[in-house]
Amino acid sequence: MTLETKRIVIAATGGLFLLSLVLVQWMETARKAEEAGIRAPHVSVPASSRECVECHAEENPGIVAHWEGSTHAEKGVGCVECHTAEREDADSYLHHGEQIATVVTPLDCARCHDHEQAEFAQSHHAAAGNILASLDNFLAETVEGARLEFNPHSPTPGKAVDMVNGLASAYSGCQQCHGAKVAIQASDGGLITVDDLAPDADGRPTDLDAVGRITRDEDGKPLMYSGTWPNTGIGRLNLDGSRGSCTACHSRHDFSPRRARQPENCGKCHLGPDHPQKEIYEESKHGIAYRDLKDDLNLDAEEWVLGVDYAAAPTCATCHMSGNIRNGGTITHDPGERISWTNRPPVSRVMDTDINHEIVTEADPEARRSLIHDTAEQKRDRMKEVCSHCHSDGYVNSF
Amino acid sequence: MGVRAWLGDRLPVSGRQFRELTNEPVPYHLKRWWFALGGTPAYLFIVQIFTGILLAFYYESSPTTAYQSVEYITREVSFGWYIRSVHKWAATLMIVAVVLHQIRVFFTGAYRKPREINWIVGMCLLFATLMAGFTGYSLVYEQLSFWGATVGANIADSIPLLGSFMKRMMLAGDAYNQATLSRFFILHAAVLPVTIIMLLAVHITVIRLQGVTEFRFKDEDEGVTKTFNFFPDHLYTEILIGLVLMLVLSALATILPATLGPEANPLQTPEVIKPEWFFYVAFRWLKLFSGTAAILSMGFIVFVMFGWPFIDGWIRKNTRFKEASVWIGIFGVLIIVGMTLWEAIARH
Repeated sequence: MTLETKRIVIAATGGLFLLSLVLVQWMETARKAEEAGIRAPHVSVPASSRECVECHAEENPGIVAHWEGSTHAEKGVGCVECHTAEREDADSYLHHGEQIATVVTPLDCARCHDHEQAEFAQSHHAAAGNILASLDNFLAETVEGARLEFNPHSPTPGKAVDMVNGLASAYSGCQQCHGAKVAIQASDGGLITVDDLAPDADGRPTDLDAVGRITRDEDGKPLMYSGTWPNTGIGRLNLDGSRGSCTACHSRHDFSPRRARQPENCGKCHLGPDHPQKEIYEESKHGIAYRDLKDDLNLDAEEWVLGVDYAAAPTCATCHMSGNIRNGGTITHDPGERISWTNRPPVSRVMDTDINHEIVTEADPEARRSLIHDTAEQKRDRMKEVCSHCHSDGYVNSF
Repeated sequence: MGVRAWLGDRLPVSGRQFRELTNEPVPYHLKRWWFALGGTPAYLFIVQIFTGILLAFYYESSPTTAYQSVEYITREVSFGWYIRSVHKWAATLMIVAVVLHQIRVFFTGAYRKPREINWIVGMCLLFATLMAGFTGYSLVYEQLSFWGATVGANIADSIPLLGSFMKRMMLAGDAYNQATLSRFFILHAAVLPVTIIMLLAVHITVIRLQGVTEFRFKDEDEGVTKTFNFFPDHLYTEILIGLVLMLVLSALATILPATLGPEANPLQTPEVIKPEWFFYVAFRWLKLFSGTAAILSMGFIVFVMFGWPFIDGWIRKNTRFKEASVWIGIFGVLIIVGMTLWEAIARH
């Protein structure tokens, strides 16, 4: 190569390098604009989900629009990544060449968010479906409703009604928060639930006879029982054996952290005479400050750490779940980690919990000590870490 | 008084002397591109110093803040993601360039008398570069950083006699603790760069004193020493290589930017622990011959690598296998590439 050619090549390469820096500058400006909310975030549709997005943008434009505003869309997590299923899964079906399931369970979310799912699975939230087998359920299914269809003995003008579903208040009331036992219609006229499928640790059904009784439509899609699905109750009893529904707090399909941080999100369930936490909060100084200072809460912050991203007012998430500077910004998906008493039983219990996160009821001090894995005092200390951002130790300890 | 005269009074180097210093005739074979690999790691090292200083403005070397500060650099600081990505990719390319340079020197026999000392200096540079890589990825304080450092310390521990002392020196105690990370940071940002600069100074001085090894190819005339000027001919080549490297770095940093794995969790051992790719060969070796046997055999191989010019000299002098080094070199490269690929493919 002659010197002259070398000079030309150097000039050309130098120019290209400067161009690459211009590209970097453009990327940085675009990133800052997205962060500041001036520009909509870049959406990357993975190849596997391109067909889903194109079709559902016509069929259900809201779903696609919500997803496009999500962090999932920014990170290239599409439809198939969450809805993917194995052929053996009870509720799976082939949909335009992809094996999917309609119901996305915590086991599905755990493919990426395993730590969060593990915390949630040990929480009281995940056990909310236990109400279905408790005496509380007696109110919905027997006192207010009926386990069998019945004749209301009252004419409804414009409708010829002779029999009504007696479980409507359970399905549309309690189970919308506590969670339903998701069921598929069986070919023998009954219902197939997790009890029939007996799933293994991976969520695959082990009772193949039950799988054989699943009814499907002409496209092979399982027919879900409408009393139990749709349902996003936080303690939903899923067909794969998992409990709960991440969308109870992280509404689909935008999975907005901003929304999960606001008390109205919790207020969907924590309200009313039997669990009036939302009303108590609203009338408290915390709730009043929240309404007044909501704009200062930096709700779109990436981590939303108390003491770093905001300090104006606490929401439910602030105290029970979110990170703060005292705990190194650690978020928990088990609100029970910071609650030291349960007022649910007739006589309140101190929340000394064993290795399985069950309350220790043993009375003998020695035996009790050996069983306790996480003391109520430790839980209280975690909560006090939050309190201490705005209140002095004396105030916190005397409260 | 003109600027030239003013400078001339204070810097007693005349224009002619300066031209002599910078314009040493360079052997003709350096016109072939692959012989310019020696300057590549030095160039990448300058990139590392520059980007490293910018990263150090924000990095905090404490287990409680290290990961967050890297996250902050990546997500918040203007151009932070770019600088971090260039630093990461330049480190990768630097190791590749050092290894390629060393392979070229090996196969062309450029380490032979009287250049044995410079081979040893080069070996020291290789190991200092690898150490800089190891301490560098330990600083991020993601799972790989923590467990990589822990495994590294345990490997050091199995070295006979010195092992436990080396482990304690590495970790600032018997196990990973609050002081470990700052020790790695000082090594990465001060001790190793200064060591590399000093070794480079010796390396280049020795090259200048001995001159670059001359090679003659089959199509060249015998007996005629052909040279060309360092300035501007060879300098242009180096500038061009530098610009191409910057383009490659820029492309890699924007297309494959440095990512951030899960934060280090001392209570959660990852299912699969793997070091960075450049330690795959050593890692596979340790898996094949576990314990002290692996350490001792690896130590022996390193010893042979350092002393190769003398071993090769003995072989050439006392046996009829004059080109044994070529076959041994091919065998060594195949082993390194093979074991690296094996470790890359293997799940455990």
